[in-house]
Amino acid sequence: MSIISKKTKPKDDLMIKDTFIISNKAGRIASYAILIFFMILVFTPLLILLNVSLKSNQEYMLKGVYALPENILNFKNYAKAFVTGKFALGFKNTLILIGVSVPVSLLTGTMVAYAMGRFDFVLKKLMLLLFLVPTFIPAMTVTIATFTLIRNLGLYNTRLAGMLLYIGTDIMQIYIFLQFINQIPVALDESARIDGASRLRIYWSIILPQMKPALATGAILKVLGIYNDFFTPYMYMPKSNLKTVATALNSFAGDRMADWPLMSSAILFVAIPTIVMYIFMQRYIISGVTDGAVK
Amino acid sequence: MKKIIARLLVLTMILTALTGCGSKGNNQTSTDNKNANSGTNTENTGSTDTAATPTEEALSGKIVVATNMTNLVDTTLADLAKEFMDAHPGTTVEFEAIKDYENVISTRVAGGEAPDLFQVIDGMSQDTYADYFKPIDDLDINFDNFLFSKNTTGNDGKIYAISDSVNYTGVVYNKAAFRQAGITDVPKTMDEFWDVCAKLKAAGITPMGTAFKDVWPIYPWVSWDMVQVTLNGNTQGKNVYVNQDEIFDKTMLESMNTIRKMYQMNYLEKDIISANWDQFKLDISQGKTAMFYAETWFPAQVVEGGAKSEDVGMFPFPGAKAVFSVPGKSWGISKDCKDTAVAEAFLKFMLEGGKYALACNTLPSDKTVQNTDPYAAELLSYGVSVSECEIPDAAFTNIKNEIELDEQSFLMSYVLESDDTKAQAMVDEWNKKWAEARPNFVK
Amino acid sequence: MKIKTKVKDRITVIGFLLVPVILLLMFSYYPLMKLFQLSFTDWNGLSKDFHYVGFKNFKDVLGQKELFEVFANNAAYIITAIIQQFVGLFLAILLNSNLQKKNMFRSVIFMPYIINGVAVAFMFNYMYDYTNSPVNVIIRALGFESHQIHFLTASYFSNFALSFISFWKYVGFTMVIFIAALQSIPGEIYEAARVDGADFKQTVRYITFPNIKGMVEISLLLSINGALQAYFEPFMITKGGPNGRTDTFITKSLALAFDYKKYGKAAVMGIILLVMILLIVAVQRLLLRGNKKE
Repeated sequence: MSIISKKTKPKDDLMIKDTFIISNKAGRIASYAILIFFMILVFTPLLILLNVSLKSNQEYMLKGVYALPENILNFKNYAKAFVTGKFALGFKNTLILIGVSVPVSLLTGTMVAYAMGRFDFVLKKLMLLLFLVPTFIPAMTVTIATFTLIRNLGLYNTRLAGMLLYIGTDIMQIYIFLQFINQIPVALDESARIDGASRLRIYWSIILPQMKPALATGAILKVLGIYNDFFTPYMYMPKSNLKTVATALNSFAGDRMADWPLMSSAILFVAIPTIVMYIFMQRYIISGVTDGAVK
Repeated sequence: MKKIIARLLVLTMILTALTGCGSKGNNQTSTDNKNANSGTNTENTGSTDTAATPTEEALSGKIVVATNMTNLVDTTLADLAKEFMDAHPGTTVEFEAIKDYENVISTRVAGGEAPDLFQVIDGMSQDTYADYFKPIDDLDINFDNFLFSKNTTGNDGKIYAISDSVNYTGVVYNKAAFRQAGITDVPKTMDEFWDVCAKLKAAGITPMGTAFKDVWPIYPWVSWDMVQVTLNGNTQGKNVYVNQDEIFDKTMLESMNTIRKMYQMNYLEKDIISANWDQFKLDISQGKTAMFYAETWFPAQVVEGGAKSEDVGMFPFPGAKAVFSVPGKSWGISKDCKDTAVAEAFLKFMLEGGKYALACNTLPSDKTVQNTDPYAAELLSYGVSVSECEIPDAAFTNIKNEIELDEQSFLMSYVLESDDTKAQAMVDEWNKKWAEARPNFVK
Repeated sequence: MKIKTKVKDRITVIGFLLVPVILLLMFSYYPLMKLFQLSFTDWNGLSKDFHYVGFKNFKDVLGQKELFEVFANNAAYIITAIIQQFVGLFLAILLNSNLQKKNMFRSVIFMPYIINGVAVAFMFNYMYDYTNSPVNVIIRALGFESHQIHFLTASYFSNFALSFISFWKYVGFTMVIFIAALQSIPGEIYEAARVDGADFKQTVRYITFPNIKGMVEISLLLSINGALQAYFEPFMITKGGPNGRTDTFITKSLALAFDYKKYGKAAVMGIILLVMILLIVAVQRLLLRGNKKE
């Protein structure tokens, strides 16, 4: 079931075509009801948080959860959360992790895809196997060992720990790139070769540009992944000046269980950037997800 | 003539250049010393040309001090750090607040990244202090001035940590809540205690708080040393259990059953599992909850939460044979600390005059400091004597770790178990494990 | 000329694969080997040395039934995972029909997937807090004060409360995968069925299901894989409490390592889980191959 051939331009294919016809009116009403129910399920917790976050703690204690805030533009809690929770530091650290890990992993991923997709060599089958096996190893089960390794390398509490883990363990991406490369006609390579381009050149000037959609999707998914990741920073980089957005929220929230408006604003603070990203880049995200699973 | 003048000039130039180099060289070495962050003071006085620098001024480097007082890190503790840094320019002292102290520190230590100055945690014992800390026998303080100073000695006889404060155990209560329920005297016996609970409940006040959700606040009910001293006046504390087969014996059950009965009579928080520490502190400050079984470090936090100082008090656990005097947090210098001189200086600074303890509103372990804490004063005014415990045998902690016993977690499930037979079975199971493991650690 | 090209090729391949392979070996293979090594030692996580104790850790772990009883808690996550497949598929089918605004529904229902896990966990912490829960607020307002929901209690239900968080986050993801799977079924087959007069139910039963069977199995496998490795929600919200009621296999193994310093036993638990998951994957692959032959 390869959808990749259709996905050279993510934009068009995301319109869902009608496969079934529900003609029965009752059926249609029921269907809409169910879909709306799930929409409400998704929105409700977020809206409640939003409502609560715009109230001061006294207001919240007095008027409760559902009363509308006095001042809809009361962003005091957000400001307080941002400063007390040291989210500026969290965002900075997360951005650094993303800024290094994403480009490097895209590079290594496409390099592997290029080497495996365009060349035949003696150990190729072994290599493919080598890259296949780790996909079966569930990350959590080897946590203890990975922790020991990071520690022995002296990387505990360094940014490098996170970066190396993000770069070195994303095998799924490599498979997607591999699939993609197989779609790029070899003729392009050959015409470049005739023009005297080196293999490196071909990789850089021909293959990579052709892979733009896959790169875009891969980048966005990886950014999301790193931004949302809690476990790696918590386990391997717990030092307070290396806090990421996720661990900053965790530390901040731990102390604030009695001040829900403040908590809510911190939670939304963290959630909103990805929601905004999602609104603008839905197509890439959704197509990336489906491609990855469908492989 | 000109030649002589010229030669003299050259000579003078050379001489000045040489002395210039000399002094530059001296400056170089002292800055090198500063940059190299040399640990011991002797290395700083390397050059003889510069004025002899007093050892304190040559102190420089950075240390991170890990504390669990998350609410004070930006206030009193920051001031404390600043005071030290002002007195020792060139040093940086940073307090790091860690909420889930035990878990986080043990992971950090396991990762080889312990903070420079941190507290001894459960699971460390005489056998293992040397794995975590540097010996501080040479610390420039008079150990005899400090309570419990010899408690944290390793198997090699060296001192590895010192407690910053002393705590006395008792029940902290909100006097306004008591008044509201028509209670005039604090309970001195268990019968009076149940009476008090009933009156509070009738007045719509939660008699006793537990902050169950966060698990650790219920430690007094199940800490072996605390229970032995309070109920039996037995100063052997934990060592009683090293020498017997039951870890949850009659004494322990007496304490555990008290809180279990309170749960069954609804004298604890309404939805005990959701009851978290922050919410609980708010409740007791506002008088919605009346009592909390804790230590002298707690009353100040109730006041912080908004209660009036005169409305907060402490009394010994009803029927207590003795008030347990226990070391507060014990501080040690990490084995991997790089700026040891700074760490040692700051440790001394924290302890002398009880500076750290006072910044945290606890009672300093420095005997030379006058205690002005009103809550401790009230606690001690009820005529129950104070008792320390002997130093716990390392075997106790080792056996406990071996059988993977988490007593606070266990107490939670014991309290929640409504079936008495099942509850007893739970106790029996742990006793069995203790008995089986004990011979491996006790000769 | 040929020889030169071959040499150049080889250099390129080696050059391009060198770093990724090294990273792979270091961070994917080495931990696996280290895991096996640790399982045979008595390392306490701190000291420089440790001793090999043969199969002692294996015997200990296999003898401690409470370490396996905890799988009963994982079961809640597995059941939720299965339900998630059904719901996801159902929603996907609905969104493959001739309803309006399909893209909007898909967008909204998928959204929780991209929200930070910590944020989601604390959000539900609030929803589940007995006194403060907005749900209970409504119940109280309606006068049913005694019927307020205890979300996180000492009863088994707490596990479902936690696994629901996972459901909320991932049902949209499952749905999107199934939408894509459904979309990939060629339209001609449906045309033919329509011509033959098949109605909605028949179409679904005879055409849709057989064609997406593979996808369903993969999705189910992914979800069950996740359920077996569940640790995040208990870790963030209940810490496995009260007293292990919401512990999972992974939270227990992490506690063994970091709280009780028994790295060897924790490693054994990791290996056991690894073997379990590999078995499930193997079974799934066999089934899939069997299907393909049909």
